[in-house]
Amino acid sequence: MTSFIIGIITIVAIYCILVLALNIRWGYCGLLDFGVAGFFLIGAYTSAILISAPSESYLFGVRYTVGYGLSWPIGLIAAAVTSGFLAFLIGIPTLRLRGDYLAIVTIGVAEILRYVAINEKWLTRGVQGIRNIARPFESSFPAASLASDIILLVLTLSILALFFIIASRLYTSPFGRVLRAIREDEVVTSFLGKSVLNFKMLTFVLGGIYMGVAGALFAIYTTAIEPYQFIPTYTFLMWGCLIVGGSGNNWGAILGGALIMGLFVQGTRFLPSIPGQHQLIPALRYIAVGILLIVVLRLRPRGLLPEKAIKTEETGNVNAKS
Amino acid sequence: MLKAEGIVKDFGGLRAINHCFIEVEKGSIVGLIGPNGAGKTSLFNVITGMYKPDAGRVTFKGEDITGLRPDQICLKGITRTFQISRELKVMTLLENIMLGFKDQRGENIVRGILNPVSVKEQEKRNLERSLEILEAMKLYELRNESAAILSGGQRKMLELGQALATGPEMLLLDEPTAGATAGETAMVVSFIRRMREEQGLTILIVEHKMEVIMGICDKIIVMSYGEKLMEGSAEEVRQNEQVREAYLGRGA
Amino acid sequence: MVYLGFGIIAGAILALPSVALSLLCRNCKFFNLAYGDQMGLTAYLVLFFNVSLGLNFPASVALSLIISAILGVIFYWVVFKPLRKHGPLVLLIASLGLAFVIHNTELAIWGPNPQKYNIPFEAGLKVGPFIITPIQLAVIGLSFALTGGIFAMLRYTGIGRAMRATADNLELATIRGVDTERAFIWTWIICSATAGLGGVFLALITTLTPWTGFITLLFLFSALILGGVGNLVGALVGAMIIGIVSECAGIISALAPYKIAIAFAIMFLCLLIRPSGILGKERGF
Repeated sequence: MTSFIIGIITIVAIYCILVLALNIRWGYCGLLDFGVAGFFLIGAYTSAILISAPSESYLFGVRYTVGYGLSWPIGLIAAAVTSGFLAFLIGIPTLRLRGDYLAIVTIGVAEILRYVAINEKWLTRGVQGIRNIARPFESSFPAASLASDIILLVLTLSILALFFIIASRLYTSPFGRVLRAIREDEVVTSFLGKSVLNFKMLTFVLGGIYMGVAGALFAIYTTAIEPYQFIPTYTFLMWGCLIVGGSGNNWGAILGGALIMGLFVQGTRFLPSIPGQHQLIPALRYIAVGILLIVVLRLRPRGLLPEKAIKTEETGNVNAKS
Repeated sequence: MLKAEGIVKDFGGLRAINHCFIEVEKGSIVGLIGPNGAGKTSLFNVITGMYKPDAGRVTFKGEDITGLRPDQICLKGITRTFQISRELKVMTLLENIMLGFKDQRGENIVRGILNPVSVKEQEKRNLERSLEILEAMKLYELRNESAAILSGGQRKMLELGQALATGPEMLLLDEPTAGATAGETAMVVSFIRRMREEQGLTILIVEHKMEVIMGICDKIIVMSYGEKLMEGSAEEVRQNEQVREAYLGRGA
Repeated sequence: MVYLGFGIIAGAILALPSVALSLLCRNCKFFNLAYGDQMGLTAYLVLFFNVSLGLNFPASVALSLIISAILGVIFYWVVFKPLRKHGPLVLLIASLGLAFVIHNTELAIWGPNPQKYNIPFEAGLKVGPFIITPIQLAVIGLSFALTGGIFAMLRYTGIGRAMRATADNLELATIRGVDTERAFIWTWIICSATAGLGGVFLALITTLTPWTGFITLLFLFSALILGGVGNLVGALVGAMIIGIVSECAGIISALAPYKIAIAFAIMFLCLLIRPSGILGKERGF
């Protein structure tokens, strides 16, 4: 039972990192990212390929080995790098254009990455996925043990906390101020001497790094990944979490993640599955989230936790030049 | 200080600016007037980088700035305001002003996260300066309010303050008294004078209110149909036949 | 050579929905991500009438198109109109939510397996170097005919003029007394019904799964952007190019599963080189 709860907290925390990253892109800077699943995927696969023990796959009778058996920090860092780089590549042409274009491009890129994962068996073992992804310190704490779960939970929560602190500090910094200005009016911000493209790119890449690391943690958590875990449904769920929890507010991101991915998704796992229609309950769940998203947008668009106003400190006297 | 030579700008089939030549001397206040559609705002847009001209050159302090991006031009020392003020409603007045300062170390992402002492100190200095600006604009009491609550004239003042925060050498003001009450207009006018006297700013101002233009400008440039019609002192412009026709002929 | 044939068919299937989607986006000023799923939903409705209820095919299609049009108006009233004030990005998010509600509804009711209609099998006829079935012929013919119909409607009918005025300048149109609300409603009616028909064509020629709508959406947007957002002829041209190129890419077998990647690569290149598209104007919408 304990192991079960630890597992749920871990996976919810991982999704919270994703929602946090989405908040940085959309909540801070107004960048529409509909390809969260793609960044998640590239982080997961990068770390899986590097961390998992070498295993074989066959393509046209030729034997390929997938997996390098490296240690988990390398997996995490590599995931951050590839995902950030992907963000950079997508950003170059698209951040110059209107926000809608970024949305469409990210949807497509995420799907294409998934297709690559399915079809390039020599790299990803295709639909079979990558198995035997090692947990941290697996030699001392085997993957199926409670200790291993606890270690992973601690790791995940630490990373979540670190990312949260970074995000919060950015929000109150002058950098964050420029982002909020960009979100409302790019043109004016540009005329005030800020290089809007640079700020957008940095934000987008930072979001990419967060999502990549989340993907790496996910791969380690599940110890086996396959392409179906990265369908666009997960992107949509992350948006549901952010909108419901409150976009622009990091605590809102966490709250949304906890509520929707935690309470709702995991909670309804206990409902009995209808034989022959095993996809019914998950589908109903997602329908509910979708409706909830639309309802929130209509009735309370700022979400549960609205954006916090920044309090600036007062200096003592003001020497007015009259 | 600022020279725009031979500027041509077309939009679709329409020629907005037709071989326009203007020059603004350092430290002067120059008015730019003309009927609606004369191309004044388009000229501003070309000078400040919103559009690239189809022909012609813009030089500032001898340097060619044609076709640079708006943010680059701001960094060179030219700041503009907009006809319809575009203040940032999601932020407080104080934040609006603080946004404007150049060379903010905290705008670097790494320093933003680490928030070292150097960033804190600079923020504090900018904060003090912002409060001074707000005080001068008579907006000090509203400093922590959202910019959404301001009246028309107040928004113009905020925009002016924001422009000042960027530490410009030259200001391009697009109808700074539009929608302002008589009292607010007087405040803007005296402010523009102060900026030239105390800070040596060069100012190019588009206006429709004749009393404003005639009162403060050293020189007035008249535009019509995308061209410079004439330029001269207030008296000369007032007496000029062609100018009268341009205005009366369009009922402006 | 046969790939070219597939390409033309693919282009034809994409043409009608592309033009309609372009119209919808131009009139309503946002990218409707639920459009693909509107196509899929109607196709599933036809399945319901045709296979579950046993109605003949034409009647099933007619009923489903009507329902699709009604649903489109409902979506407009309930979701998009109230959110209009928040701007195009929020409308995008809402349309994503709607897309997933529709997608998961299909998944819940019909399951993930591909579905087929209850229609008589017809052998292919030989037309030049191609073998083509009467259904495919009918689909191609109808697609182009209806696309032409949309152009004609826009040009010659009152409602078409109203749509154009509303799309060009909403304020001006309202001041001039154009019934903009009627224009919006008819836009949704026509574009939803057209989406439905496009979905049926798609289901006839390819497979129907809950993912069909969403995947088609990606092709449609590639076509739209390639042709120039806001330009209907551009959408048509874009659809044909995307259809032909992505099918012909299948010649190289390694690329066969990546048709959508090809479509997207074209779109991506377009955004890099000429974001306004082949026929687009500089300012987009």
